Amino acid sequence: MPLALRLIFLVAGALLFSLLAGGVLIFVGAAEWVQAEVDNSSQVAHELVDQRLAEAAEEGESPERLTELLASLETDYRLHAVYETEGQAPPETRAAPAPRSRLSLLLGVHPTVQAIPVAVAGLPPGRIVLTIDPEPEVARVWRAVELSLAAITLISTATLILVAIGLTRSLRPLRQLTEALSRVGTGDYSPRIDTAGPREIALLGRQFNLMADQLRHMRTRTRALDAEMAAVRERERREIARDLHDELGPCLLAANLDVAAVDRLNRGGDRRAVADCAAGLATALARMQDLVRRMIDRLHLDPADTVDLPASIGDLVTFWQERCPEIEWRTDLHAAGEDMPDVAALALLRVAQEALANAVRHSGAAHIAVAFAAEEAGFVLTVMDDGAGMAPDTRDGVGIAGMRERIVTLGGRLEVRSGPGRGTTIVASLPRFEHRLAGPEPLEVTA
Amino acid sequence: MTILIVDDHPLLRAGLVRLLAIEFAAAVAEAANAAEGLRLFRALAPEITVLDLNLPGEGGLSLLQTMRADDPHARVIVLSMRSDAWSAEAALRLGAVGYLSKSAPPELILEAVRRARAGQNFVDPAVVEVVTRGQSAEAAPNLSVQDLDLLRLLLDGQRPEQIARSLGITEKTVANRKSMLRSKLGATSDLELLKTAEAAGFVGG
Repeated sequence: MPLALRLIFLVAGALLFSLLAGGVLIFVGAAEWVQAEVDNSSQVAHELVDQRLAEAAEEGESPERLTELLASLETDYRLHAVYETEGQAPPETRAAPAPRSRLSLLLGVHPTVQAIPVAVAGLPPGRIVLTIDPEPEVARVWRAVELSLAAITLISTATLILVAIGLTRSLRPLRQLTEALSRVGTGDYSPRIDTAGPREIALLGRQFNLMADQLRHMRTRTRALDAEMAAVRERERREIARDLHDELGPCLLAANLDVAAVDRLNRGGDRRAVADCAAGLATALARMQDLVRRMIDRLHLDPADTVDLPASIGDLVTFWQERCPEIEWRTDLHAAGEDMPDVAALALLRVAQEALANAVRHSGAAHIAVAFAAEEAGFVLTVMDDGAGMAPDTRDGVGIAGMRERIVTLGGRLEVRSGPGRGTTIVASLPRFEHRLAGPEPLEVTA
Repeated sequence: MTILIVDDHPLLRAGLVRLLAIEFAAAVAEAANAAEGLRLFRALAPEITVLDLNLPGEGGLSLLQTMRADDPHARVIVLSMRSDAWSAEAALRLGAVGYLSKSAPPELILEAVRRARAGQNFVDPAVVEVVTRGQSAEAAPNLSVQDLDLLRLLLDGQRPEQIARSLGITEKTVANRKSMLRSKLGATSDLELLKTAEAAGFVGG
């Protein structure tokens, strides 16, 4: 059952209960009141008659005055007074008049009959019979009850309507929240909740908005990383293909050529030329072995292996040095120390790989410097080139986001200092303690 | 007989020098780049030139063009890692007498040299197959030497300014040629361009 309906039922129940209770109270009160009124009337009438009779005992009574008395008694609308002479059946033997309405029955009030004997001069002996009928009183009470009940009903209805409106309004953000959550469930992180309204619900809305922001942010980041990973994979694949193609292919042909030459020399018997060819073959094969080993190294940087970071960075620099002899390289690599976690070493090695590849490929630098130091606060890797530099908007395309992700995940910082024509300096620093997970930290850029 | 080898790979050059010297008892000269190659070509007037397409800087196709312009009877055998239809067609259009993939066995290279000496053309059967396959599939785009040089440098991952320096043209011209190349190959982006080239067997080398 919806919350609003449940609350409305609850309020309606309370109102109904108070209506019933009010009804019972009014009923009890009314019964007492009617009885009191009736008793009061009867007493007043009795006193009036008694007083009159006392006067009559002294002055005598005439039928006119009796009629006058009876008429004056009749002015009380609850009273009915008659004079009965002797010989008529005594009132006790006559049945009291039946109550005229069901309500009177319900209230337990009924007409009462009283007979007051009259024995005065000038009148035949008889009695004054007073019949007190509560019916008009009951009717009045009933009218009042009707009005009260109408008022209570009116108030209850108004209360219910107000509660219903208030609830619906207050709970509207909840419905909005439900819709928004179901959209988030399907991967749409765009809905935002209106944070106006009751405090608790507004707070809920604010928290939801924060969550949706975070989710969207995370997805954007994930997508960017995915795209970057795909680009990196593609580039790796291309580079491996190029290595195979540019290096291994010609080496294989060179070896094949020497084999063909040896075959021919074998027929001629020129020993010196055979030695040349054998040396050529040996060189080609050694080169191929070296190439294969280095390509395998580049493909498998097994995280389970212990990484000697300075040595690995040195290898990396050697690799690029051979490919780009025109660049002047400078290295300043210090020992990492026993306590450098492999996960940190591997992260910095990946950063070095990416940063060096970027420097060589994109910057057109004449000088590239690589430094690594294990300081007291942590490990610092610096890759600096004097190349073209990067405009702020091109940075994400060259693997910076991936580098940052690696470093920040380990609680470190990645600083990129670059600008068009000003070279690029990348400083990656990791704290000494192991594997501290940190939230995303904005990339610091000094352009 | 004089043979000139223009190739930037030292090991391959050395092996080829030895084999050709033995097989043909020839004087074999070698050059590692286009400029040195052209200098020796002019100085020695070799009977046969074995030319690599993937030379640093200017590139082999341009050198071939210059050589043929210098000496219309020059017999140039192209020996390249590229076995794509575009490069082979361009080389043959420019008057190469032979076209061989570096994956070809040595006997085939020797055969090409023998044929060239006899005044015949020789194309690596593997390359012929690629060329005919390309023709049956769809008409090969009419790529110029400049197009192919640009494609080679692009596939090499070079930046526009590096390409401009290598080819001796301005960056703006590089951009213009690149967009022309893209439209010739029906590519909408640089990445698509490179993928098309790779799919055609035009690997960077």
